[in-house]
Amino acid sequence: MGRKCVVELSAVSPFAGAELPVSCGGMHLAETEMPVLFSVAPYPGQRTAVEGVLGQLPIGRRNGDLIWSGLDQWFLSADPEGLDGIAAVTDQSDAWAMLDLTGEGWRDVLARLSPLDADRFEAQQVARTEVAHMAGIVIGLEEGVRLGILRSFARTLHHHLVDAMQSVTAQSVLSE
Amino acid sequence: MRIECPQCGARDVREFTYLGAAVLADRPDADATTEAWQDYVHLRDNPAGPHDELWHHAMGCSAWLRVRRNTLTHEILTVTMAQEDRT
Amino acid sequence: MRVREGSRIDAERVVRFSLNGKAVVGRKGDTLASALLANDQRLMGRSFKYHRPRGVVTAGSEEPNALFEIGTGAGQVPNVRGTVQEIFDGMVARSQNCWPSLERDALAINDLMSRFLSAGFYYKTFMWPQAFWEKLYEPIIRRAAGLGALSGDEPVGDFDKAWAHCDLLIIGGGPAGLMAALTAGRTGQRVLIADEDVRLGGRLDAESFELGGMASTDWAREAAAELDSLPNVRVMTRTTVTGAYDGRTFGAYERVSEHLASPPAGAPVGTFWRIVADRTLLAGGAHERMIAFPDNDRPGIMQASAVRSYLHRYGVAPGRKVAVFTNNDDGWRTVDDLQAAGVEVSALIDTRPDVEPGRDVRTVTGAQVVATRGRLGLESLDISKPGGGRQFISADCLAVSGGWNPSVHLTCHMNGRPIWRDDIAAFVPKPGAVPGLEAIGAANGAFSTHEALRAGADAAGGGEIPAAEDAPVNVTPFWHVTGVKGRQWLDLQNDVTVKDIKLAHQENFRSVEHMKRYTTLGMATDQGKLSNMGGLAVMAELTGQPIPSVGTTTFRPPYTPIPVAALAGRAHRAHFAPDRYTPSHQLSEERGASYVEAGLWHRAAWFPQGNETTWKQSADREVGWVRGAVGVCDVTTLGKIDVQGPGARDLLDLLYTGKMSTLKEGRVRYGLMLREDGFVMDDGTCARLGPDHYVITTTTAAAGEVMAYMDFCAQVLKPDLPVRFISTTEQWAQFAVAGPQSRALLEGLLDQGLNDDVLPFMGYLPVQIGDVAGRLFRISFSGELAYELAVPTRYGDALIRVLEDRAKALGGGLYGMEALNILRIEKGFITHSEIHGRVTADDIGFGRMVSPAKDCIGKVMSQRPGLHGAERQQLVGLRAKDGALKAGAHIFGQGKRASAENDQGYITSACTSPTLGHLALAFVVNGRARHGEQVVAHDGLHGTDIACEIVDPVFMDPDGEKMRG
Repeated sequence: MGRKCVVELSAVSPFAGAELPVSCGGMHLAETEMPVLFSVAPYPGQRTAVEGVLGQLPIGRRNGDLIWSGLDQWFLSADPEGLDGIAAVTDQSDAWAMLDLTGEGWRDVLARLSPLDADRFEAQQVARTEVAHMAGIVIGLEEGVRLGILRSFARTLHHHLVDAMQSVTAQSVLSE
Repeated sequence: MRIECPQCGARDVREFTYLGAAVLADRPDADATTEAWQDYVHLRDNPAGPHDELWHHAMGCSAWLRVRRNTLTHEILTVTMAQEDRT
Repeated sequence: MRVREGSRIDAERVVRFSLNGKAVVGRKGDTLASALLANDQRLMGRSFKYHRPRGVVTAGSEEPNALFEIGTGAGQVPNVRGTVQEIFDGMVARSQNCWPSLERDALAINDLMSRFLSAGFYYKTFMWPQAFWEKLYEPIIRRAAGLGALSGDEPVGDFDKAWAHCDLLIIGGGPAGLMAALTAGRTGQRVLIADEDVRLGGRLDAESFELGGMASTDWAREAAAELDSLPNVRVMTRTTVTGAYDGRTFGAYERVSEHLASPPAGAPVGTFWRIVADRTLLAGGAHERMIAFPDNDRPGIMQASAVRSYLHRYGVAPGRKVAVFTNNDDGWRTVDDLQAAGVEVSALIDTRPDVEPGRDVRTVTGAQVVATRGRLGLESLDISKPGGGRQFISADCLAVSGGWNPSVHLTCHMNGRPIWRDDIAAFVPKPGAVPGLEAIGAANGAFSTHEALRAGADAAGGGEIPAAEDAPVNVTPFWHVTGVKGRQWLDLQNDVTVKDIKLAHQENFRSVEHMKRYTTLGMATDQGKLSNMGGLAVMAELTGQPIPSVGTTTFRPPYTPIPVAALAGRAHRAHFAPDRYTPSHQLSEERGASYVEAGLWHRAAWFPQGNETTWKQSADREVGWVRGAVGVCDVTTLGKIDVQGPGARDLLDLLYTGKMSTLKEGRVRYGLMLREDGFVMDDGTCARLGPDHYVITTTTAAAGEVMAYMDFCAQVLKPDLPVRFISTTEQWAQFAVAGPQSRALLEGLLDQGLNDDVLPFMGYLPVQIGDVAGRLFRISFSGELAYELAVPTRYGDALIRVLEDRAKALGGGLYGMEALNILRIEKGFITHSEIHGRVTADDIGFGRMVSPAKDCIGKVMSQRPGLHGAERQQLVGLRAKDGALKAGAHIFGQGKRASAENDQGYITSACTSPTLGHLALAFVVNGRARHGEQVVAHDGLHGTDIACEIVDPVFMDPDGEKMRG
């Protein structure tokens, strides 16, 4: 009924206004490429049915596009189909802001931002934990780590990450 | 203090929120006596020793946990998922 | 004076710094104390109470006397131990607690008045006249008290906080710690070894031992190098483990740039660590005890082990003519080391009558020091033997050895008390006092190098150890001299003497806890490391008990003082808490908005325009826009929770007082949630988007609390219910579009009709804005015809700009929290100012919202006697003619005195409406029955009494025609 609304809305990054990417010492900080993110929460008793559609549901880990995100909940970096009635699905693409930290020294930075065992954090490992005093998600990359917090906290995460990168870099030149 | 979340492994207590004694899981029926309700909401044992309690892994996976903790030594004795452990 | 090479000193690198404005030259590797001793300066400070001249007593962090202010301006740090501070070029150091100078301190007059200033003097003196205490005596005493001073400026420098995990934490890098680290490190365990000192080695750097056929200091270097080479071993020097906590977690402070002239940009001053260790070995060594004798506090009187530390580490002799006073074999080494360095030893005095030290020096056994002389530094002393006369001894340094106290402190942090051992006349840690922690080496009363190495290796898995000395200490307890006049000092930092302990005993403060607090023994920044034992020993004698029966006070973290800023880390000033920004923040900045903090969110409070200079001018205009045209406001911060599943209805019925299960698709309902004790927890809305799909909203403040409570209900109370939910607060940018022109604005934007058939009041409609799928709710917090439009947050900035443009075209624009507050008060809509945790549904006039047809959280308890009826304080409105009302004011009947008995209630929200005047929402006893009554709002804080009338809390449009139209 009536003509379609022709207003075009442009998208804005959660990190708009923050300096990115950042290079410091041998480390690199960049915004994560993440166009789409959906949460999938199988209803009680429907795990197997959901695995039939998405594949094995890991805990504390990531299987390709499928990322464990909490109790009975997974993130999928795609809009899932075939889950009607067996899982609750919500769009979370705009709810999270994520940064990728790579390069030597990233573990020392992680140790300054979360209580995790930074020295033992592996690629594909996923943890829900406190990141710079905010509820966050930590995902292991091949040579670094992906840190995610709720979108509105983006500037705070960026600030503390850069501080920690500068601190670690500065201390690496201190002798004895 | 550290609590071993069955989903996440051992984590520092800062990731958890304490609710209270595990009796909170035994909610009376709507038609239970006033005394039953008063006890449920207000009356608690205060043991010097093992104490069953409910904690929420609020800064973690969001699981509610049933924890047995020694109130004298703060030793955590057992941790189970509240949604699985119905005892 | 510098007499030889020191293992820490780089003789080639000169360091220039200043003390009290005078230039001093030292060497790289010197501490402030060693540099001053190298320059023959023994006078280093003035004591706390009596301003007596004092010198350095130790070579470690237990130092009580040599405290300095380091740095100037904002970077100034007080109470820095001269024995720990490494010197650097340009360092500025100042003595504390002395004026006008260290050498001539005016308050030394206190020493002459010592009779009147003994322990607890402030309980007995300065009593009369009573008024003088607060105005005169206390300010003077407070000015005179304290040691160092803070600059008062905004501090500079950052501190990091960090976490470390390991299989084995080793506290202390002396022989026991090194051996344990090597043993465990070589087998691949993940080891973390921390030492408060500049390098690993402990006393291996401070003695002339041989270890494994080489000098002990060389063995320590090699061990440290091997540890550095092992990838599974983390070595942390300049790192003090400050506390033991539950869950095998330890606190530690690492000094990162306190010793650097120019720290690299970005480096912190220090790092506060939390270390999680499967197992921990406490190898923190032991502190040498002093012996008390008259005037035992003159500069030059120090620990014998400290004399050896200065000799070996820094190549410094603290005097030219050194006497040694000991009650154990360990003290004799000092003679050997001094003579080997070419320093004259004037005498070896041993309290034990039947020993034969066999040193080539004047030796007197069975003797005690009974007097000392030298005002600004030791010059000579007298000794005597029982039954014999006095002998004169010339000395400018006295090395005292009273035995060793194992460093038990960490083992007491979790309420453990140490155990007394007669054979070493000392306390040792109680096993198991800290779960997972074991004490080894001198920390456990095993004082020889061999014993330390053996204990370290055994604790880490066993194996071979290098050959090392195994001499016994052979201490015979001797705590203080008797039968002579003169004050004998126990606590050097707080100026507490043996006489003070006797006074405490005389006045019946005999338990160790009373003795401590009455005399202040052990309450200084060194936590009594050198003084506790002496105090216990004196009290034991006085009460006729063995020392362990007197007991010990406990120790608390931190082990040595750390900056409070280190515990804050980066969370200070503007970054004290995380900041949350709304999707409209960038636009708000461009419009010059001021903000209010709602929890962690920054919400625009008003948008100034034209010549507006006050918030009220802007807010009144924005209120006018909403009531007369259209306003746009960012309401993203309110909690949004997406609830799905066949069991969603049951969960919502449990949470809400109302029957949400009857809500139709496309409809929205206002709802209340109670706590289980029957009081209101939160209010919000529930919208049904699909057959098994709901979105509920909460207040901004309670979003997290409601989410956690829903998790509790679902996981703990109803784990089988097929329902899942997740927060979508951040997924959707949501804007209120409110006012008579709001429908026109949205019909224009969305290019579709929005009459009541399409979108009724309390309805929901999915919409499209270009390619973007949005959600349109018709709900109102302003009381006007209003909507809330939501889009995925990435489009929020673009959308609010479009909405603002279209609002301006219709004679309106943006409105902020101040205007919103006025609008909602005019309509009697509540916030957490009203639902503050102590009101029931009935109190706020929503008793009928608690459905009688079903159970819900809080249902039963909300029906308790006392939660209903005329004695309750009920929500009302107040109108005043003359004078703005204020939240917090209390309500009294006209002419009634403002007292607790007459108190009728209190104001929770107030505003001055641009059209309706001074309004307030309040809770008043039996308020609903008292409309029309004249009362008084009494504000004791601001000193006002304002007449007002009790009215209906909905001040305009009571039937809500504007919202529903």
